[in-house]
Amino acid sequence: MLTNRNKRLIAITFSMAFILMAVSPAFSQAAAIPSDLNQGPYVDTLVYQVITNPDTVIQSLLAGTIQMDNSFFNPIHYEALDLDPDITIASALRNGYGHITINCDKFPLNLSVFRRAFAFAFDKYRVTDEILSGYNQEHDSLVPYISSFSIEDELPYHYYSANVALANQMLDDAGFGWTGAPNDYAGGSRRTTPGTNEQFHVNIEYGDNSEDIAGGTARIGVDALRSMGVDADSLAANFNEYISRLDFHGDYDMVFFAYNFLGNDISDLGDMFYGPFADLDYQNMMNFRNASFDALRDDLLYGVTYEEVYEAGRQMQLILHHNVPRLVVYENTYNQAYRNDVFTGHVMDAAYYITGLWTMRNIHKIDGTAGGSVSISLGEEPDSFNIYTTNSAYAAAINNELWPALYNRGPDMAPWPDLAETLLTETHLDNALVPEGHTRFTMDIIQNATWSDGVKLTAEDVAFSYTYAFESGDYGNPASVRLVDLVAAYAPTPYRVVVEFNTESYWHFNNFASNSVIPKHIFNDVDGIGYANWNTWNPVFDPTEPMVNCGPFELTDFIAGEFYELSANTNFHYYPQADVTAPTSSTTPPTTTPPVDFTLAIVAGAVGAAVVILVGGFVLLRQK
Amino acid sequence: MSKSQAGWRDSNWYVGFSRFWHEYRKHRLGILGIGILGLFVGMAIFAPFIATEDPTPTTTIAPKFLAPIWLSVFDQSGVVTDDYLPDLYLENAPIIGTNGTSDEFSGIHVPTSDLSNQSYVNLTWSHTAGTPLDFRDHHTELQSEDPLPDYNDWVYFETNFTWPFNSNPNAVNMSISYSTTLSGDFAPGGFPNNNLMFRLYVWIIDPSGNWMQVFEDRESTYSELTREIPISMTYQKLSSIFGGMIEVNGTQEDPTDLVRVRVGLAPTFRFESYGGDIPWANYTGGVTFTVTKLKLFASGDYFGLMGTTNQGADAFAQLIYGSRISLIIGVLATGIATFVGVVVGLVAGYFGGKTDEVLMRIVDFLLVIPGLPLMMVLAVFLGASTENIIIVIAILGWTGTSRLIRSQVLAEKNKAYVESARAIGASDTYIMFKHILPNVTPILFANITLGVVGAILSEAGLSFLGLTDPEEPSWGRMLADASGGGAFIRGAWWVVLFPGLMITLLSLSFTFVGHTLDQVLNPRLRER
Amino acid sequence: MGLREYIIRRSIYMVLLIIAVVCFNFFLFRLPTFLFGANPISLMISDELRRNLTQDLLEQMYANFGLVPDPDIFDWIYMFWRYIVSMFTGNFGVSFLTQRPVITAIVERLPNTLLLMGSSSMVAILLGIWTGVKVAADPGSKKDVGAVTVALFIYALPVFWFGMMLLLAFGFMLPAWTESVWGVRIGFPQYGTISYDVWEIARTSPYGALMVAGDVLHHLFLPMITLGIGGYGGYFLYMRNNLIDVMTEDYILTARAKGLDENQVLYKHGLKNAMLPMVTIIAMTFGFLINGATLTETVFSWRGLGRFIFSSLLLMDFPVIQAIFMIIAITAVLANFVADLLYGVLDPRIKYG
Repeated sequence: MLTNRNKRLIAITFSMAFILMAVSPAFSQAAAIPSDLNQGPYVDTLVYQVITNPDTVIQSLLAGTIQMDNSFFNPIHYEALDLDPDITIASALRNGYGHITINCDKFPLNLSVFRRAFAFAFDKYRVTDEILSGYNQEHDSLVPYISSFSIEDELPYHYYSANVALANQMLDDAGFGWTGAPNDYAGGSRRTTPGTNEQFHVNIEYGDNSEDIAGGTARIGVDALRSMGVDADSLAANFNEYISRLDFHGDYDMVFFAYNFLGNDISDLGDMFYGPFADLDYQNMMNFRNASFDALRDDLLYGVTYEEVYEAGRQMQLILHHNVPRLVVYENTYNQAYRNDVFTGHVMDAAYYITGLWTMRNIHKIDGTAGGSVSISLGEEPDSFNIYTTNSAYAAAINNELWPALYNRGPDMAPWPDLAETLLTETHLDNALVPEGHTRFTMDIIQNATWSDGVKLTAEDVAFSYTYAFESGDYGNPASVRLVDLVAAYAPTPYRVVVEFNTESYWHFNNFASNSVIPKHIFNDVDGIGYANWNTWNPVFDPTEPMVNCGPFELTDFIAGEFYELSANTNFHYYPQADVTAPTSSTTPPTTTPPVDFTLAIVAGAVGAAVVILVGGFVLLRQK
Repeated sequence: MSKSQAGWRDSNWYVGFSRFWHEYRKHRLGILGIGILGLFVGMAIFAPFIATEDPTPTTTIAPKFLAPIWLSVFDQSGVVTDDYLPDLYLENAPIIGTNGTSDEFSGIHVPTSDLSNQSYVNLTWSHTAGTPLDFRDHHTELQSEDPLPDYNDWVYFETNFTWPFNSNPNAVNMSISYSTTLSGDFAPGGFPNNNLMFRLYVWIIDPSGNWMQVFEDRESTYSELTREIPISMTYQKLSSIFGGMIEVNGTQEDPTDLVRVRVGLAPTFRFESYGGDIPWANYTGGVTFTVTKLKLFASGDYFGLMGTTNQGADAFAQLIYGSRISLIIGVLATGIATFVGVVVGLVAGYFGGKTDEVLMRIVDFLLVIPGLPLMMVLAVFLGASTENIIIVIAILGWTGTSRLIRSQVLAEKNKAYVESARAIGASDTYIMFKHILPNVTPILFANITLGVVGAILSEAGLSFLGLTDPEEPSWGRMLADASGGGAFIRGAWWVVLFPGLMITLLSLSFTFVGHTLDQVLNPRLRER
Repeated sequence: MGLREYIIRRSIYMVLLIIAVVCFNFFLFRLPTFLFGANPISLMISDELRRNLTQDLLEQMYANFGLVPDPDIFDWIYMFWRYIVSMFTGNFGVSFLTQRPVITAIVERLPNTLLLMGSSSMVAILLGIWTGVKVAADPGSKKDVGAVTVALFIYALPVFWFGMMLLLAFGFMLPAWTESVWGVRIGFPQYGTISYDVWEIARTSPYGALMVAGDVLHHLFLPMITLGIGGYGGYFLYMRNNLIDVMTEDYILTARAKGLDENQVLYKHGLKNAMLPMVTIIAMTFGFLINGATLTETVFSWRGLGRFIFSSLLLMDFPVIQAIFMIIAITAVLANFVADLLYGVLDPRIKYG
């Protein structure tokens, strides 16, 4: 069974690669398939263009002014994109789902039988058919299908189709009555609560900026409730507003929104549904309390082997499936389109899909030569480039290309070494020097990494990155939350770093390995940015704030809200050495300040417009 | 002031109106405006009779962005919207067969009889413990695209249809209705998870013999109640099924136009080994799928008088019903605004002094507050409902009216008739409403009609930004749906052109009426 | 009352209006609290930020934003005081979502807004004056009736829809058509204010500034025409009616009696006097320039203040909306003031009162 899990994950990854190769003839003949995933980048520049209108994105793709779109496209455009031979469509099942969160504190929603009846009455096939045009897979488990921890296909029963008769039977058996004649919703009869026999009302709220998908899904939920005779409505609400209401355990009935998993990590389950957290702000927004679930938490968070964690996760999923604190309503297919006429070497990534960092690193011209400029559309402008404060996926798309880490998440979500060369994981059993119950990670890092200001990247920087996140936690840095068990991070030699936790857990590695590594000489608390200023540091937008990094690309030019130009970092530690002597394209982009100032251009444009209009107006006025 | 005007003002209502009408009808624009307005009012009142489809923007009734039906005259290869499986309720015996050599599988067709008017096909698998089946084990071969089941032994029935057209259908609405009977070790209460051992499949086989699995019963939750399960068809599936039948230069890829639909029952790989058990060796039991209905409904490229929107709703119904919202909001918001404006104007003008000063400073203040941003902020705060939009628009709409009324009151209040009314002891309220108001009323009319235009355009703007009730059909919302939903790229100009045209025509009719009223009633302009 | 007193009176009045605007602004953005009893903090701090804060830090953050958890009436007074002080010291705060000073985000978008609004207003004003004058010479003629009808039509036109139609025709359909006929895409850009391709060439070219200016103009054209046409109707009617009014005045009769050429009467005497109220209207228009045009900017993905207000509103980024709102209103007050002054200075007939 366990091997089946892993096999499936591998199978998915391989089949993705297979599909890619099959659909992209250029890919299969490519002479320059990189032997090492880390090698790159091969192109000169990445240009992220901000295009807010989804129509325009498709048009630009078809016209060839952009090569890729950072986001998935509305299935309505499938035909237009598919008919263009220069465009390839990459699809992957999303590592996340849309769901309806249910308030398990509110009578009668606190009765698990009611929530289960709702799950049975809800028609997930309708979501697939009407809302997502078939680009969806019905899903029940609170772990996405793609995760190696998901037990979706082993669940004893499913909630996919609407089983209204069963739902009503369950409510009848549980003592839910009617205000009038039973099963006469059309005639005005409504369900009443068991015991107290009062009519009740349920609102399903959804984000008002996604009328098509969120609103449509919420309305299918309302139909399910009404089919059980419950008085229900859908209600558009502001996303940020209701999320904060949920965080503070405010009043709500049901809320639709989406949740994404970034890696193959289910440790969040342990906090999200943990009973004692039901009174804690920002935790357990379902107010879900279940003793047998709570008993599994330590097994999940402090299990040390995959098997232990899997078993805890499996039991948790079964409990959650039965109690439905949160009803998963879809796990959709992430469809992305990209042009295949100039560049090849795209890599499907399970977390960031086709526009992830691996694509940017491996993409190259079809003829095998280096160079070229790749344009990618962004749906919104990045709000900030501060890696600690921004939670925008648009900023992340760019930040991912700029910052190093010990390990990146590979295309299949497994750790892929970036700075790290070796990894030694020790507990007291392995090494008596490690205190009992502690976990110690010892890593050697590569020696040729250099910050963009010329300073060598050493283990000091790596150790400092964890210290910084941990210490600035006192000032509110959210990056510290995952490092609560950290007891030490230090560099015994210039290229060896040690990270130690005072607990043992399967998840410790996930908690630190892919954090961004930051330069100590910039961020230190003595003469640098310091711990307290973690959130005011505002690189890129504030010219005086330093942006020293060490990724495959550097941000070389931008006009806020229009485009962001990233140029290949020729000092990058995996920059293809063989190609340095090979003829690169002659137009290496200037990294110096461009001679033209944008404000100057705007003024020139404005003056030009004014002159044209004034002269034109004058001429018009004179000719009576 | 001209004599004719003084005449009809002072006389009674009826004579006044007929004189006014006599003036009014000289203006061609005014007549045109009234005509268009009448059409819209009729449209709003009789909407349910004009548009038969559901106007809710979120109700899907057809595929997205279908063209208006009158555009089909330019298209020779359009697909006719219809049911394509001839035997929807399986009344005639389909082809029934088994795959492989096992004799555990059987199928039977039961037509309608005197006892039951329900015809159906039964697919049955009854397993005896220890009987080996032909397992394919393709899960380890990385063949995720393989459409066939995990075993070579399975039972199916097959029906087919001919696709007479030379293009893909725009969308296919397919579904299957079935119930399940379990027995022996497969029945509930037998082995744990014994429901995971088999699945129902639906395949479509194109004329070239390529198989496409369109449905697999992953749910594994079985019920003896018949349920209808929708089978969703993505664009890729449609084009790989129907694409081969498109004739290019007189030849087509597929040899015929015959498409087969096959429904099968097969064991899955877990039957080989599951949870430490070997089910095939230990289970004895049976499963029967009773299929009562198999539907395949294909839609073409055209729908209704105005096509469909990005959500697949009927655009024509929305255009018709949209007039209701625009008229209601336009008239009510202006009505409230006018009422407030009149009261404020009367009070300020009549009492003068401090009252006037305070009220007029409030008016000045509201005039410098940026209009649309304030409306957006209030609309977001108050929430998206028609009443709130009316309030939001009215809050900013009364200032102009109050200024106008005030200036008129200032002119009137010192006239002899007011003085005399006051002399005989009439109360302020009485004088204001009985004497002054009727005399400043005519000038209001033009103001009101022009106010309605503003309200209609504001409503359109707010709903374009998505700040109004999403389930309410409105023209601004249609435009928002069009621009956000992909109309531009699909070349669906009809969902962009017509809603805007409706807004323009409605507000234009009010503008024409208002302009004409202004000319008839406003003495200054008439003297020209 | 002399000009000096008039100016003083208007100035005092203006200051009072600004104070009113500032106070109104405070209450407007606390409206959800008053209406629904929503916790002001839950509306004021982004959830992501709060998710990871301890109670101490949260309180510190409230203090930074001039907020108080669970406010009573004194806390409200305190919050109001903090707000007033920061508004008058030009401290507009920091965006909840991006942690960037609001003022930089506004300044970043200001050039785009001014460019679009300025140029489109100029189009509207010049077209309006020109046609208004043409038509006013002969009121009641076919030309006049036609022009008035067109102006009324524009008055009734939802401008953003007009923009959508232009975009559909010249941004989408025209390039597709030219591509199918000549194999090149000729048309107007569908989004943005500047394109990277041109920018890339321009920054190494000696004529870079010119190229960029041309590119900006290219992007500007459709939205400018949209807003220009949208604003045209009002200016035209105003100009026409004013001029017709003026042309009935006695001094025009005198001028005609002197035997002046009708054109000279119209342009020298008529236009000069009719321009007076027009100037004040224009001055007020410029007060609303900064306003942006949310709808048109949304249609053309133009990165201006109008769209910024709207997107911040949806994100509940209150410091941003509050600040923009305030700046817009104060600019409008100032422009009104300038218009009043201009009127006072330019029109010799005015009795300051």
